[in-house]
Amino acid sequence: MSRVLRLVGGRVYDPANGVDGELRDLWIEDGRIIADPGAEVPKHDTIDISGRIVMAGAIDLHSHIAGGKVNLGRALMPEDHHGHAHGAHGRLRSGSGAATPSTFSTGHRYALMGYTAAFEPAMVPANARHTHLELADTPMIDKGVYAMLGNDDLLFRLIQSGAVQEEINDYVAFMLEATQAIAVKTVNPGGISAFKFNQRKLDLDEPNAHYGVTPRHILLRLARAVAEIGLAHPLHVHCNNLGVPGNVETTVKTIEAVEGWPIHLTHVQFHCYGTEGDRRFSSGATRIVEMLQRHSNLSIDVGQVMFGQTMTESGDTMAQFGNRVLAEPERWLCMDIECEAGCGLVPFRYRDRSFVNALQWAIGLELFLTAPDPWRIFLTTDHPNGAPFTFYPRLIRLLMDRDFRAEMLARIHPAARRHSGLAEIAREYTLFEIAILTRAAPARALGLADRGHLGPGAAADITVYVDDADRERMFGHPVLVLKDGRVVVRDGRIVAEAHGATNVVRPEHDPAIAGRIERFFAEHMTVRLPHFRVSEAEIESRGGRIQVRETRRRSGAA
Amino acid sequence: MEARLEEAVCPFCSLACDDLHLKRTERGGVALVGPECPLARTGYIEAGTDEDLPPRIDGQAVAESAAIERAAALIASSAAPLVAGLAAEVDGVRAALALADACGAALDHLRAEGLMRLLLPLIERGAVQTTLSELRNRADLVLVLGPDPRRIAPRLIERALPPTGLFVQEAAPRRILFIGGVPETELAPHLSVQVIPAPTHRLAELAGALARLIAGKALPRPEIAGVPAARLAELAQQMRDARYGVALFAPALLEGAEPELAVAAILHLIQELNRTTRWSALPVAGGDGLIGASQAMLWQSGVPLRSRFTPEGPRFAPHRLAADRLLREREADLLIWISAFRPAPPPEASVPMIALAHPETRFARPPEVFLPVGVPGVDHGGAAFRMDGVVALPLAPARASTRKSAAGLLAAIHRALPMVAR
Ligand code: SF4
Ligand SMILES: [Zn+2]
Repeated sequence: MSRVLRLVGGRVYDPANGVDGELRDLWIEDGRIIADPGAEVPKHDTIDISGRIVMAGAIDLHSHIAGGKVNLGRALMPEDHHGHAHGAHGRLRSGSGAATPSTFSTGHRYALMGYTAAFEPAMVPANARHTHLELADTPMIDKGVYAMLGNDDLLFRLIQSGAVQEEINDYVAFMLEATQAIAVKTVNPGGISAFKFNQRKLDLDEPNAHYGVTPRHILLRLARAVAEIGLAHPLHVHCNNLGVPGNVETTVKTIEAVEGWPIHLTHVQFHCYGTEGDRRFSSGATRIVEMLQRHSNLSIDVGQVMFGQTMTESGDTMAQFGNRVLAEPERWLCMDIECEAGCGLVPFRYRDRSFVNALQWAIGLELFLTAPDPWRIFLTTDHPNGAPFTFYPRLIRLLMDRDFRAEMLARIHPAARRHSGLAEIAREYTLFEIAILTRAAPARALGLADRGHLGPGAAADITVYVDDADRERMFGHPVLVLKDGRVVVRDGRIVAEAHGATNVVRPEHDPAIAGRIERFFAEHMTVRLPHFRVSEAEIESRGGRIQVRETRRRSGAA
Repeated sequence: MEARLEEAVCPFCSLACDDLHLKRTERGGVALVGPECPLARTGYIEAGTDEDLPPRIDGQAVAESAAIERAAALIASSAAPLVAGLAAEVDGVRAALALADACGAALDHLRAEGLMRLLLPLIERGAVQTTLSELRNRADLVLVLGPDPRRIAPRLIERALPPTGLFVQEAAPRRILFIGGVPETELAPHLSVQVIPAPTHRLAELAGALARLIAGKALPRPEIAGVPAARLAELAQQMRDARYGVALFAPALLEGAEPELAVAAILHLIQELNRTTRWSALPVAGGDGLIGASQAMLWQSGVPLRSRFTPEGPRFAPHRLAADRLLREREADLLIWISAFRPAPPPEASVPMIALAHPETRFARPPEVFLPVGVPGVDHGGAAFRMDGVVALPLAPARASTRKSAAGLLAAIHRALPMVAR
């Protein structure tokens, strides 16, 4: 029998269980939190954390950490690695990179910030084996991937052949299982495909030049499929018209296009632009907040911009081809991928003295600070697109500390300051709300029943902070991190290397769909279906662990 | 893992054909039944029988544990180890990188020269690239620049350019143009082939001239590299008129003093074409697990091959860290040679050598330690990346074999290393 561990005297923030800064001990056995044993105290070890702040391990539900485009980003930017390298240390591997860190560094840095899970949100199905290989070398955290659908010729042909919704559902379920994914993302629905047919822009109701199918149609079919096969996480949408002034209209219409089916809009900051003002570029944050108020089935993550050098990596070849003119340093790469999707890489430097960048920064904060419900907004920088994930502690300080925010606001481009309503917003996030944004809400949104909270039965992923008025320092340097009950970080150092699970779903589906997909692969693709599929055994043979998350099949209208 | 003889994935080049039909021959041999490919045929023949070969120390057969111990001791006493060859499937490479990180080794791959010719221009400007299934289904015009890439990927055109694709119809057959090279083996009759004779070593000028024409500028001379300007103008027009063009070229096969200039010019040309239509580049790489090694190196260390694991972290130094140079200049004091796919000869070296190599490897002198390894996709499984860097395929063994994988042996050596505080 393993020994019981007791964390004594911490102030606990556990929103999923309604605990808001109460002093209480945490009891841990076999990697899980157990109920307070009361009078019959078992033999146990103790760690005294009196006066410390305790939360569940943080969860990043949208961070580009592994797979083809990330690795291309590493190749494209040796500068990013030369300046940010560290040697091996004991058993811990070396690594490098700030915007596109190597896999071991990624896991280590997340753990050092008290994160115990991160999800790669844009896996091209054809790249699944590669992505899982990288995740096998990403220690410390639990992980999972979202399969990118909605630009693949397979789906277009299903739609064109008049497939009923049931068949679309089967196809989605099949692809999730075949690629060992937990959720479905669609990036510029229809747009990546349209770019292959030389279309340079695609609006919600604009048909694909070859198939005649519109983004609206794809969104509706996929959002419904995701709901009906019963995934916890709604369709994860990167809207059309990324970065284009005035695109908030597209975003609003996208929300309405799914006719009430649940939807998650990712890096909304990049899809939240109006055309007001003398520069024809303005904040659309109030429109998005209105939509959040009106649609309880809508959630967002922000994709906050922070100033400095980064690399933008997106599946959205159409948008990234347009962005190539902004590349700094001057190099860019676009790739069409396997009749499924694509990727585009553009190195980028966000400047507080640039009107557009400064307004992007302000728009992100406006979204955070005016969103009505912390359970439906998640803390992301769309790593590394808005900034590397290592900026989270500073972002948290911006949300929690009005004076700090004012200081930063004073430094940005003056016109951006004038165009933004940020100065008038007094709100400061509480620790309870931060715990929602970074723990409870993402766990709930992804159906990770035993993560993101500290109730009995939860996995003992626990982060302990010093209650420091400088929230950046506090969230950047937890004093203690436990992964599945084991101390992995102590006083800012990794003391043990953990290996997290790969979260997947196994929605039921009619196996007949496999035959249809197999024929498509045999006739048209350059890989056969059995070799496209990634097996559990492969992941396990590389030391991985599969964690199947629950799905609840449902049918009928929303 | 279960042995597979049908729909087998071929390990012998980065086309990673997954339609092979194999058979067993006497004494555990494996042979290709079809589809025909000279490279694959040779690869399976060279893999030989499944006979269990003993490791050797200084040419003498020894127990595996002795060889591993000796290898670990050599590594522990080395100040500047070099891992070269690095020709293994992905798990073998991952194990090699773990070992290299633990001992502070430099890393090179036996085909890295071709990789560098692509990578350095890529870092300069980027590219527009594509993958095999896009080529197969979209390309209405294919431009092959330089020597026929089928020299290193024999079935490339057969597999990537059948008569029709999702968006290529029989009524409008694909065109394939060769410039600076000629088709070296037969092409299927459904392809409309043109050859533009031009010197292979002057591709940089030719691609540069095409980019000028695409940008609407005139050429400064009536001919470029011996090709009449009018012919180039005609070609530029064909390229502009393509719906989806793909440029195929094998960086490793390019000739001339500075082949990376040719690659840079090709990448630039393709980027420019995308102002008005769609074009992509598809660089063709050879075998020996190059693409997988390159990918794993990038994700594990953040930097490309030809890097060294220093105490301050991984450092990329493409010119300094070529294996031949390190050995010639005596900047390495130990060579760890890995070549699992074929009996590639190790470079000349006066330093001690640990070889984890194909059983048929011929050495100029017996290595200090020789651990024969199985062939990936014949003796054991793993994963193999395709030339486009996107698709990785599972490798399965083709026979029950006692031969050890490079991955397993490298991990054993790693475990045997005394933990040295660094
Ligand atoms: S072309 Fe390459 S992958 Fe295909 S069969 Fe020949 S050697 Fe094998
Ligand atoms: Zn993203």
